[in-house]
Amino acid sequence: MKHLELMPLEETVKWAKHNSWYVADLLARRGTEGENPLIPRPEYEMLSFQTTFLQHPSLYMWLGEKVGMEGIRATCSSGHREFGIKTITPCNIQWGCGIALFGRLFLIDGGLIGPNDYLDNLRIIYSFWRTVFEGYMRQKKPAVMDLGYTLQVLDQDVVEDLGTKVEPLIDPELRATVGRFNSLVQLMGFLDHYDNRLGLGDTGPYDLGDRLMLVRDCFVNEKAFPWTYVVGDLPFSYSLVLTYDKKKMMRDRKSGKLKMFSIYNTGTLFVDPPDYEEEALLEVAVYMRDEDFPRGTSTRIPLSELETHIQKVEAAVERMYSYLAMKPKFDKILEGNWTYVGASLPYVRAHDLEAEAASMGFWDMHQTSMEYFLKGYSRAAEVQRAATAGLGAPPPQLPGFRCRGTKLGRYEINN
Amino acid sequence: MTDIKQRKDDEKRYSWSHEEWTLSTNFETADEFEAWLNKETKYFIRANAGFYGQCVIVCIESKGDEFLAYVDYYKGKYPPWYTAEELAVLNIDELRKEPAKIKWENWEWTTLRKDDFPLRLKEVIFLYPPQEPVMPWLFLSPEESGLDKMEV
Repeated sequence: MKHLELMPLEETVKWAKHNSWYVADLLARRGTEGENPLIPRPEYEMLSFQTTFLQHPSLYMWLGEKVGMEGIRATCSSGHREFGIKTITPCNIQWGCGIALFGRLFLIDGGLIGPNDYLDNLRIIYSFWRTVFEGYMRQKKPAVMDLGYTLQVLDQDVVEDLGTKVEPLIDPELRATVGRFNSLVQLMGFLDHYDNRLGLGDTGPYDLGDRLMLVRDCFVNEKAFPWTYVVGDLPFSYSLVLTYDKKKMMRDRKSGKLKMFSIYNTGTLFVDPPDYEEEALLEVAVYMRDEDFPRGTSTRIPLSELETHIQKVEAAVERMYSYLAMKPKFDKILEGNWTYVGASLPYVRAHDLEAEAASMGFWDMHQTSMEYFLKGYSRAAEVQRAATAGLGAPPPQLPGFRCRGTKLGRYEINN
Repeated sequence: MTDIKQRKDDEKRYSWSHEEWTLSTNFETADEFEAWLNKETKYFIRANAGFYGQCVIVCIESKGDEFLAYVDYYKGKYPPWYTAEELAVLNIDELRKEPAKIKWENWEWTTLRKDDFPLRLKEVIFLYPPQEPVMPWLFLSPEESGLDKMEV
């Protein structure tokens, strides 16, 4: 019988520690970014993180029974051949499980549970997460950090084919147009996903000999969200294939001018110095896709037609801002919650099980999730800061170990 | 000073750990132990905000008791709540040359305590395999990757 094979409880220690390293490193970067005052992010993160921690383990067990271990490993096989789909982006693949793990942090940091509560959930989430990642990156590692912040998902023959279809950016006017398009579609991807990174993601750098290549996917119209009508004239995604001058980057890394060029587990490119990407950029090609995998196809957009798309995206951004400005705060907490619950969509879509998952309650919220949310609501911002820095991710208290636990008063449960 | 025996796979306490050592070494103080960790530890996770120590489980004998404990140590600031200005001047290539510090206080991943010393260290367990950078020249310092000696 097909099923998700669970790791021993002790092994969750290894993954919890690993998780806290790269979460902390990511948050060091994210912590310097601004916040959108229109979006109650700490509150919706608190709700969605604990909802997925409490509810999605049963989804992962169900998926194990439907498709087995090999099926779970094959979740991202579409992302090895195609782009503009959610199964290629690390944020969508990582954070379906990752946010569930954050849910444990929020609940512990909020004093609502202790480190030994919901241990089965912890085992199921880490086991599913590890199995998905065995089939995701070329090197089959569970985190981008393990590979020096390089994220190669597409097969090399696909990469080389894409490398033949890019156009040079010698004309300054064209370069400026591409720059505007690049910024706008990233903004739209963010907004459509309530300002989180499920709306966009880079993979790469891929090696093309004398060039490096990134593939940047921006999901500007996720059709599972009720607000799709606001951005309904946009495709599901836009993608940019970008190439960079490898020799220049090597020279600049050698001289110390380039300090980092890193893709994080969110699919976010962080570069130091921050404006370096533009400096090394050589060529680009732009694509759009009408629907997510397993449906839809990618279409190339000639760079001469970018202005038309820029106008469409600008208008959609404006409509989305108006939509957000008029929404009551609690509605936005619920809608933001759905974007993170939807982080597990690629797991079910990859197997064409989205409708069946929805009929089984994928989008529903259990009473327990709501109760925990109401108890933690007033401390959401404070808890978010600690939890998203990787704090409050303690190991389970195991026999033979000395732990910091309830005996020391560290995990006083207020529930 | 330290006689370290690396356990074979069938001798490991945890089949899923990366590497396990058996040893019998006495430490009088926490500082002495920290210096030993810096000398002997082979594995650090290099991240962009710091370096994280890889050995997180130790088995110790102290005051008539024997138990497992976590030890977390790192180079850099933890939690990594850097300001944008601090991040701008953070140089990871230079930070790697500094010694790591054990995070002793109020931290769930360090359950060894300073008042456990003196103690006898009996096991060290490295949980996670070392990083395998796909593009070492891009990730590591130029000296580590050999880029400093390459003609580009």
